[in-house]
Amino acid sequence: MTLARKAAIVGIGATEFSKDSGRSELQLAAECVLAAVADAGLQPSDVDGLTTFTMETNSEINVARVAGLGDLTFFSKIGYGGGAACATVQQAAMAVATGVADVVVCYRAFNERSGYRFGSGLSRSEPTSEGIAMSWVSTFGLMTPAAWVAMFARRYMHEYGATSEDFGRVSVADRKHAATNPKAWFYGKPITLEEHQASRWIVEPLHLLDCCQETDGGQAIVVTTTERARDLSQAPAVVAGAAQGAAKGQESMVSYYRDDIAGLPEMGLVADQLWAQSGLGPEDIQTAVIYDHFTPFVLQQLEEFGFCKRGEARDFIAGGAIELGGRLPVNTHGGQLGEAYLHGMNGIAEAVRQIRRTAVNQVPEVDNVLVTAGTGVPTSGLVLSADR
Amino acid sequence: MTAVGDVAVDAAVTAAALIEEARSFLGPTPGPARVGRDPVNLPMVHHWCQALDDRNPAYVDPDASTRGHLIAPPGMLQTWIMDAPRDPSAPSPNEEVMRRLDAAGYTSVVAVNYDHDYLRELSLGERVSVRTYAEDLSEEKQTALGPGRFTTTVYEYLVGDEVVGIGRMRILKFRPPRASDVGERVRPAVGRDNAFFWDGVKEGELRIQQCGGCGMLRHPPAPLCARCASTDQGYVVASGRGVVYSHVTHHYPPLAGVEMPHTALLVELEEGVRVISELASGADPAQVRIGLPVELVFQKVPGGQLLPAFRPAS
Repeated sequence: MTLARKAAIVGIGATEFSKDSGRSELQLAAECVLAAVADAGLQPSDVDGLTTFTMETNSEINVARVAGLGDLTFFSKIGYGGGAACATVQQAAMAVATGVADVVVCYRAFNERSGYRFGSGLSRSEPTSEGIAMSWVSTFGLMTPAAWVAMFARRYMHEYGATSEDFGRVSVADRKHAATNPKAWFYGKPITLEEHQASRWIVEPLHLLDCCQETDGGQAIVVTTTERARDLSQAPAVVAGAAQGAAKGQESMVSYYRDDIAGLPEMGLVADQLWAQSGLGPEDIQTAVIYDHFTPFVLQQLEEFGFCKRGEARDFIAGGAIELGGRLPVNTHGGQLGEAYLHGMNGIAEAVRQIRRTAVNQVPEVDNVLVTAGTGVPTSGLVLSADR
Repeated sequence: MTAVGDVAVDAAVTAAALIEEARSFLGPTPGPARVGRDPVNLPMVHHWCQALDDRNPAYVDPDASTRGHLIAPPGMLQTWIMDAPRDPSAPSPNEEVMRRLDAAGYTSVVAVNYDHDYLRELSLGERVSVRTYAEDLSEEKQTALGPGRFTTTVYEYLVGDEVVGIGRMRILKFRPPRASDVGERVRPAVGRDNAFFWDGVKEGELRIQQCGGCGMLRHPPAPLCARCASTDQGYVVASGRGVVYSHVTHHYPPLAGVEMPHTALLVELEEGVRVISELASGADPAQVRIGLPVELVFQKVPGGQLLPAFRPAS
């Protein structure tokens, strides 16, 4: 029994990506769910499952009621922020593969810029096990996602000789791709490496342009069985592999106590499963959506997935490999740095467009796309394949 | 533990000593006289009268003057010694007071009032000099600008040896607002599994959990040992020595109770566990690098909470 190729993504739908949506998070959620269902050529009444993030403020029942969905036989939420992105699709795939549900919509919607801003830092914690865990860092003024990531980045630079410019090349590539994507917030606004270097410090060693934006918007993904997908309007993006990973010694964003903190073992765990499940390897991937809330972790992910050796991502990207026309174009929509920060969900949609060969920055001859979810947290990943 | 300090308390002690020193310079013994660059002269008087729209003919019209000669507007007294050269090696007593107020943290200044006594008129061609002393220094006052101290400088204006005017300038030297003034540092969530650690911090100890079953040291602590499953958990007190394993310097956004820029440290203690902490106040962030030997201190952070911090090892 394997999950490989049992399910497929058949619909994608999003709101516009803005800094002030002017409507409620629930409305954003309902709008993107309905857009995705329509994209799939289905009716709202066809949906019998919903998956989302524990951080999502719109519960499944509220979305179902507002969007006019029918009875739900499957609903679930995944934890750990952006680490949940690909896992929502894994949950959906497992549900349809086992017959628990027929059509499952994965969604994430928020007013993350005009409402509650993740980047603003922690406030007081309650003495639960999670509150106690965060107190080890927050009490000492280590309170924002940028700061938590910066601590890993500094160690990575020390161990492998990577520089701020190496991180900057990720940002330059993302913004180059966003510049030609009309849906991207930074459409028409590429940056240079010099601009990256000149941008102000947020948390050393991270500059402003190492940090992704905050976005208002919603993104939904429709999953059904591969068999049913073949009868629907869109070319299916088959889920060739879907995996979660929380590695030994895992903490949420602050796994500072492991022997080695210059890698991302949870992403290595996801990588091993994805390659085993799909029967594919790095050489089979034509383009990838690599989670980029902060630039440094893009380098570690390229290493964990075997696109290059440990510590050699800076050499891999220095030659333009992750830009359009390179060996592995990454984040062809502009990534979260350039298009929108939808907790990774907009990246899954881009992977689907690449499989459909309808992306604005289409990579030629795409058959297999890798998608990763949030880094520094328990995470997840997908390999999507064309049904050819 | 090799070092238990309290930077905040140390700073308060230092400030008190500086104020004591400043007081030793108070009193009516002026410093050296400084001589104005230009004598009392008609062009500067013209400028003054024009700027202030003062049409008194005694200043500019020799025919209308009842004295038979022109006098300078009395209010120009200070202008005759502005930018008078000073000898940096011979500071006036009031300058000694200012230096110590700066060093004690009262780095900002705002003038409060300035009184002049004019003892006689000044005529064109006279050269004015000035000598100064500090008359008083208040206790610390809470003001809208921040905590500060008032001090009065007395200016004796002279022509030759004759005192022709007295100025008294009262200023407020105050501590400028800091980021930390916007709030207090967040306090840890304390529960059964970490209370021993924070109890230790209150007593000036950095405690590392030690398993009573297998002896393993562990941080962050846990209610039971992941190696032997024992729930018998004790602790040892860290020596306070370690090396920087990684570090960051936070600039943005502002955080309650955190002065920017703020350097947080991941320290590998010599006992073998890592802890998150921060760079001690007064230590130079530019000196921090991975591998730097550091030593433990305890310091108060904004809000009054005592926390472990590290500074470069002595």
